[in-house]
Amino acid sequence: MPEAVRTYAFDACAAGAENSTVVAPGVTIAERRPRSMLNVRGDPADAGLASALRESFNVTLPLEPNTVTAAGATRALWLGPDEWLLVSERHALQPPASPGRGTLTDLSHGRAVLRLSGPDVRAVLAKGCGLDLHPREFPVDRCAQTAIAKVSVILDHVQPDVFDLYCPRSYARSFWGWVTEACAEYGCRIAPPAS
Amino acid sequence: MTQRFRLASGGLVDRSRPCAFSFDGRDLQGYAGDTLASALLANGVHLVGRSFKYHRRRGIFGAGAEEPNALVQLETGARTEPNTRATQIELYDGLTAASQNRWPTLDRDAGAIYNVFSRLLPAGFYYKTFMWPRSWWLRYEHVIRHAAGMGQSPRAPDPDHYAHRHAHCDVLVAGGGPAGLTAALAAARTGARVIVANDDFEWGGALLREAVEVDGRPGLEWIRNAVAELATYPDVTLLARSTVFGYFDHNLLGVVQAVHPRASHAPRQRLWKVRAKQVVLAGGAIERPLVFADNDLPGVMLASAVSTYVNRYGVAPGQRAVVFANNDSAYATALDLHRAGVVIAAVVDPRLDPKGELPTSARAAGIEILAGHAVARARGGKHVESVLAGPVDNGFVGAAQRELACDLLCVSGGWSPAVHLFSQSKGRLRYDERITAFVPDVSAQAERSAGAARGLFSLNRCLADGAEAGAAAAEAAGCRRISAAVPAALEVADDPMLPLWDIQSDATRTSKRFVDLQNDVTARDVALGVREGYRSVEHLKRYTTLGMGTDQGKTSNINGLAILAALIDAQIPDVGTTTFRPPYTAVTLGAIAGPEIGAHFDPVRLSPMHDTHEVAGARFINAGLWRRPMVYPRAGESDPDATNREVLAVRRKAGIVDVSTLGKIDVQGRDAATFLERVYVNRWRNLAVGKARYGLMLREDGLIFDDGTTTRIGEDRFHMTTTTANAGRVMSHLEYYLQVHWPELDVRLTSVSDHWAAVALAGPESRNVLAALTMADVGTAALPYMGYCEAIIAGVPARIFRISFSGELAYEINVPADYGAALWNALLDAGRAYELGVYGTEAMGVLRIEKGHIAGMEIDGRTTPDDVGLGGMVAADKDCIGKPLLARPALRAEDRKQLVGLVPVDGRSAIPKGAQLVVDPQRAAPNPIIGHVTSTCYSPTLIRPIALALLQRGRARHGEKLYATSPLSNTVVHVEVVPHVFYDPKGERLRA
Repeated sequence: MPEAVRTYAFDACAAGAENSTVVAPGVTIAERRPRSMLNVRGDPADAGLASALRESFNVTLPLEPNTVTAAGATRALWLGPDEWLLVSERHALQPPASPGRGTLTDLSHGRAVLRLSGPDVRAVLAKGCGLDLHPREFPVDRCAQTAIAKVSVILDHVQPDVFDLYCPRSYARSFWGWVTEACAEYGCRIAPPAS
Repeated sequence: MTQRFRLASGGLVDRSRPCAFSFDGRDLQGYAGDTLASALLANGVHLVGRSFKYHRRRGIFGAGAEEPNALVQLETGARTEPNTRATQIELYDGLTAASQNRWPTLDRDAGAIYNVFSRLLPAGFYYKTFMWPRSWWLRYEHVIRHAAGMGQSPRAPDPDHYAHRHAHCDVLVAGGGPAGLTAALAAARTGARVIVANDDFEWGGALLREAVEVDGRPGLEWIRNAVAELATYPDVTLLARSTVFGYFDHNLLGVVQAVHPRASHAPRQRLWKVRAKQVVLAGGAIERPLVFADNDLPGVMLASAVSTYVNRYGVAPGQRAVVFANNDSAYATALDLHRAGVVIAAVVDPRLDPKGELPTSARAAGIEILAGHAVARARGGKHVESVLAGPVDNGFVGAAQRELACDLLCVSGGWSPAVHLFSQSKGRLRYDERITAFVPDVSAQAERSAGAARGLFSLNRCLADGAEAGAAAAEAAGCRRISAAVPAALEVADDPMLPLWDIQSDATRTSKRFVDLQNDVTARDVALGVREGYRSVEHLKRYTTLGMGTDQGKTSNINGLAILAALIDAQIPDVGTTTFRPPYTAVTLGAIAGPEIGAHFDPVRLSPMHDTHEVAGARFINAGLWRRPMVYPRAGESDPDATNREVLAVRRKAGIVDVSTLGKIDVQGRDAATFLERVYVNRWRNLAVGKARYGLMLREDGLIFDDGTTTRIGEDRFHMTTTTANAGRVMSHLEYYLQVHWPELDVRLTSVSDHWAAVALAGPESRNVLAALTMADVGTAALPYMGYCEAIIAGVPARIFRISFSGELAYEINVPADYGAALWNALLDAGRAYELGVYGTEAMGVLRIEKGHIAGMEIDGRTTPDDVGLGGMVAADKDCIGKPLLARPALRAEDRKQLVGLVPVDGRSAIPKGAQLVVDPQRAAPNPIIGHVTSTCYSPTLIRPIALALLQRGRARHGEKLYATSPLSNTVVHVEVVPHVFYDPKGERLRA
């Protein structure tokens, strides 16, 4: 049987919208296609869970609220006292057979991801996000769950002036519309998707 | 000749950049840097509008936010904006504005007739006159509403867009004058994050109108340097053209910014929601008018405004001026005018011997001072031509009056600190006798006032006070205080002011002495209100409209309070003030709505297969935030016909429907089954791995909360589904119980709603369609009714649940969302051989009504399991959420409404939606209602209309005939009560 065609959430929005010609854009939008997203729930004190994650993914869960630990191409985002999101750009994260008393659930198709970068990225986010994103308050490797334009979004500060925005897949097209409109006044480049 | 009143030099206007504009159709010219008001005055145009009630001629009175008169209709068509203050409109080339509240023209206004009959229009006129006969109010109202109001709202949709912006800072400084700038500098130098908002397009506030020096250099130079320094700090945001309009709880402030210049894609205005650790209120002070006869004539202006026009805009608003003031500050205006070559006829001052520095300078410049005098009346037709002044004693001017010819009368009754934002923050005011005004006293939030906003009117003290406030605010926000030099200005010694509230004389007893220019409230109106018993300031405001309108009494407040206090023999602080509420100045609705309009009013949720539905020509329906395919009509086919076709395809062959919107929750952990037993009414422990079961959840009060199918996909793992509408609520409900009530349970939840695309494949041919797409054994032995398996379908790893909502042999297939479209298309391809069709929510609804399955219309928050025929599901030998309260007598009453089916007695009449069931439709009201229709449709399978209903003791009424009445559609249908399962009551088809 032939390989099934995978349709990404932003396919219909981004197709044809790419405009690499914009010079000195205030913001660049690029769709991210992480290979894998796993939701982790469990007790951070559970040694079984910790060692399973370390052995399988070389990941240590962040314990400080709203922070991210990175190990190679895999990031672990703190979502709650007993909840994290593991995201891998390149690897298919295969949940370990016995993750202690924790739970690993595949959500790779559940969220669509946009990467916003550029000098005006904070100004754009501040149009919809009530959190304080000043680098002193929200430095690199800080994450948050928030609402932007009434869409529940996970925000990950990946590098200086680079943010990944995870929105539920079903909201992707709406969210794309909001983001592109919010960026327009700053000069916006739409880059091809990166996986 | 243009700009006749423009001075040859001076001011901040750019004489090399002329701006053409039009006012009431006249083409005029001003300069960049002008406001509309200054440009009009430069052209000798004072008359800008007609007053609200009496249609009296009104001229430009102020120079900023306090302006009560010069409200104009800015621009035309879709971009028109009513009631904009000409004193704050930054002039641009091509600007078009028009006066308001006049017809047919500003000069010859028919409404001026109201002034002639003004004796008949006292305060409360409308309340008194249009009460009788009571039933006539609607007729009166039509006429009165037409006469009321000033400008015209735009009729066309706004072509511009507006943005919102969240911001956070250590210190928000409201005000860009001397105190605001020193506060911002002091805070910025500590490294604090600072936002400075200035409602003007120029920075400098009062310094812009004062010919003074700071640190021995011209004031304007100091402003330039201060702003330039602020711009060097990366954590300082300078917002010009930005009004702090509201001070809300938790130090949240609203700022509305006019975006300029308009870059492409830029919003017209930006609404900032600023969360500030500390706030410095440096909004300055507002000059008060004086109350005397005909004090509203064009050409009567606030003294400070005149100084602004002379010094900032290089405009002389007249050629021969009288200055009438009870304090020293207006002497600066006299000197400014004198320097600009305007003749000063006299300074009229009620104080017997003004000898402060400014009066002394005026005397030295040869300006005549009429000490101990007051102006009793301004005279003139269209414009002030002269004033009558005479010796004043306790507010009364005697008969010995002197007429002073002039075309400009500058008035100053003292200064009131702009305490609006402070009061909005719920801070407490204190009355300051020295300046006869209210000043901030006790703070309620993390703010401090600085400079003139707290009653310090000397420039030198404003500069120092602002610097201290800024440093203290930054320190309070957690920044380290640093010592820095404070700029200084010369102290000017001044004499105390002399309060003078309502100036009367024998000759002006019946003349209009205006207190509130915008609302046409006179001192006599205040007196009448008091005589009629409106002695509370809040009552007086509503009765006379004193302090209402777009300016909210910025210039009239204190004068009104003082006149009221005198009339009731009270002190001003005892009278108190009316409540200050946001906004400080009007905010356009577009800015408040921001981007949340049109497509962005609410986000839209789309299924992974949405585009395939679009291509298939689906008509969509909003289901919460979701957009779901309702029906797929073919060319020329009506929606009902299409629905019937879709239903019959499922009943006869096969169909697919997109059910991705269902809530899906992954329930995992050793105690998962125990948890489900507690949240569902039925049993879960005994469910085998690989089996699905229908579950019913109750609210705490025993009524049905939600239903859905939950499948044991592993020993410690269940896949729960919820209804589309309750997906979020169920997740919160379950998470709450786990976190708060049962933390000991080893259960973890993950919402997987968006991860899985879901398709229901239903119909007698559905097994054949499925088998064509997978190597897995989907025979009824391997995958029986309510069975579950995992398989590769169309190359995609899938979960297959053999469950049925339609009543046919059916499967629900889940695949990771990005493969949803691929699965859908593969099913279409494989289904072609079996005449498979697609169906939407309408057909899905018909199928489930035929089968008697409940949905949101039956689970309406009022029904119990027994009501809908599912009482047997409630396990007797275990507890669950809602079970204790399900035992309440009212929920077990015999006459509760129970789920039944209805068919029309004639076999063809449609049963109306929401119809009420009665025994006898002819009976007079109140006709007892014994039930209501919940779901209704035409059943193409049974070839007749059918309905589900909730009917008192319904299960005992099968076979009875009742009437379904719908007053909304004015229909009555004779119906027969039948069991609620119309189709395949034994369930043989779904087990096939």
